[in-house]
Amino acid sequence: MNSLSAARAFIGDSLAFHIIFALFGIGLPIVLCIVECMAEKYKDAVLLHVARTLSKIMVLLVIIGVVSGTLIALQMYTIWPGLIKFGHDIIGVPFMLEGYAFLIEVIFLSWYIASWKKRSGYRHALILIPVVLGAILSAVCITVANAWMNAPSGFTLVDGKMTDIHVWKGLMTMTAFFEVTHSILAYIMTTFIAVLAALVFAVYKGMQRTDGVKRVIYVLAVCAFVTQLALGAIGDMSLRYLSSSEPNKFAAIELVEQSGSDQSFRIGGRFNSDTQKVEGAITVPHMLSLMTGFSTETTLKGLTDIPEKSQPLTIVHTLFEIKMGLTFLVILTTLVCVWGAWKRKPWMYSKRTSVALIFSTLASIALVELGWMLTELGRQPYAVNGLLSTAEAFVGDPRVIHWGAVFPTLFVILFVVMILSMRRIIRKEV
Amino acid sequence: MNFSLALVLIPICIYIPLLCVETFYGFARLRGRHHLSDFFHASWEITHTLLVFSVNAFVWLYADTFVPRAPELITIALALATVFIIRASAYIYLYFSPKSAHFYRRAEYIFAIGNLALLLLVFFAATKVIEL
Repeated sequence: MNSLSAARAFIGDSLAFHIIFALFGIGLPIVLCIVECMAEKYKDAVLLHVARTLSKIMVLLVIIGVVSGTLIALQMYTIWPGLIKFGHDIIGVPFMLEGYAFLIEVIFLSWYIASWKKRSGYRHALILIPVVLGAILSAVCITVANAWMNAPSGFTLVDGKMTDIHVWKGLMTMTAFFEVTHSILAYIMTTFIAVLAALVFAVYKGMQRTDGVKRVIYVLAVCAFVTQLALGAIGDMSLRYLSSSEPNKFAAIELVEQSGSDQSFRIGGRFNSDTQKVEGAITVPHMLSLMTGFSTETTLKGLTDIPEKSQPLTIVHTLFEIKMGLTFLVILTTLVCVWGAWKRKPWMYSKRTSVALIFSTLASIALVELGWMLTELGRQPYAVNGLLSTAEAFVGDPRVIHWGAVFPTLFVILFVVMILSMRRIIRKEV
Repeated sequence: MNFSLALVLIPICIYIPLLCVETFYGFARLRGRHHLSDFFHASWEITHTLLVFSVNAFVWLYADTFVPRAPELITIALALATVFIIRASAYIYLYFSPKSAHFYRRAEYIFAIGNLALLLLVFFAATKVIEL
């Protein structure tokens, strides 16, 4: 493995680890706010216990998010300085703002945790609002910077340097809108499913099934389903927008072979870069053009029209198909749970439902990871789409190979400690 | 002092005393003085965002100074991250585990030594940055 591949694997591992904690950092305050408000509304002591347990878990996850986020910051600055050199005039702004957004989040989070005994009810739950806003703003800042890397704008390029810079014009783009809404909704949806799974499992294991608990389970299932519908709509719009904003990535995701209209929709298959042909796919004629622009006349860019050195990784096609398959399973499970919780069916609290929901939680986390993999791998071989290659952004230091082996081990240690701590929190509280 | 420099220095000037306090309590725990660190809550860990603030401000506001010298900072930055993760693992273990837990004493040692190592590395990194 050369040092560039090692550095890519290194940042990939770190981001994949960090995103799990970042997503719960955004979703858990929202869920906690719902649970605590419902505990107050129905004067339910069991729900209040659940809220307290969730708050402890939230702190644990935020701490791990801080640690892994710090590693990513240090890694990005020292291993990918080319990106900073090229884009600091624009992406420096959201990266700096992110720190302040996170500060808002953690100040109010500390207040929330410290005031469990002093405040109660709605007033205590209200402290979570700035936590949610801080967490969302923090995610917006980072995602907006990433969107700029995918579709750079807001400047004129003269001799490889940015001039005539308009920071906000560069950051507030449609790509940013789609990336931000799609990712944040996915984080929230995953948390809804995770807490739903935890509650159903806790009831199955003997937690008291009070009226409040049943209502929270129903509310979480409905919220998860509504979020999934919104995600589907935004996902569809963003994919269609991708065909014009990032045609290379779109071509790789949908395996578009040659440019033109009347494009077929392909299921399965792979792009053979030697023969420049798609092999082994099931094709549905005209369908891709029809789905993208609502007309068979819609013209799409093909992989063969992309110079070989700029061709994206076509593995994203397979990743996209796995993502769609998992999405279908998660939506189906959620829909069944909405029905079960609404009709108060006894099977809702069975082992089978618990297992299905735990699988859905893992699948939802995988969906978030796959979404980011599509975004990042689909942009390759560029760090800033079409302008700065990943190789140019890399520091070019072979020492990265050794460090890349150290950190996955540390992530495993941190993960094991987290699981042990989470088990202790749950056993003590529920 | 200009505004950019203030954004770099103020967070680190708040962070270092806090880290010193944490280091002191880390070693106090080894001598059985747990009551000294009773006020510590898990959210205390969030003080480390101050370090990130400072690093962020330095990198983005002084990009022209930082970028050419980034390779010189790789080892120190990743060593800092390594210590940071080990120390955090120990802290989480100590905070969420009973004193009777299997690795409790060892975690206390790791936490104390980790704090000291972190302090030294931050100091070393700051010296290196000043040299830039």
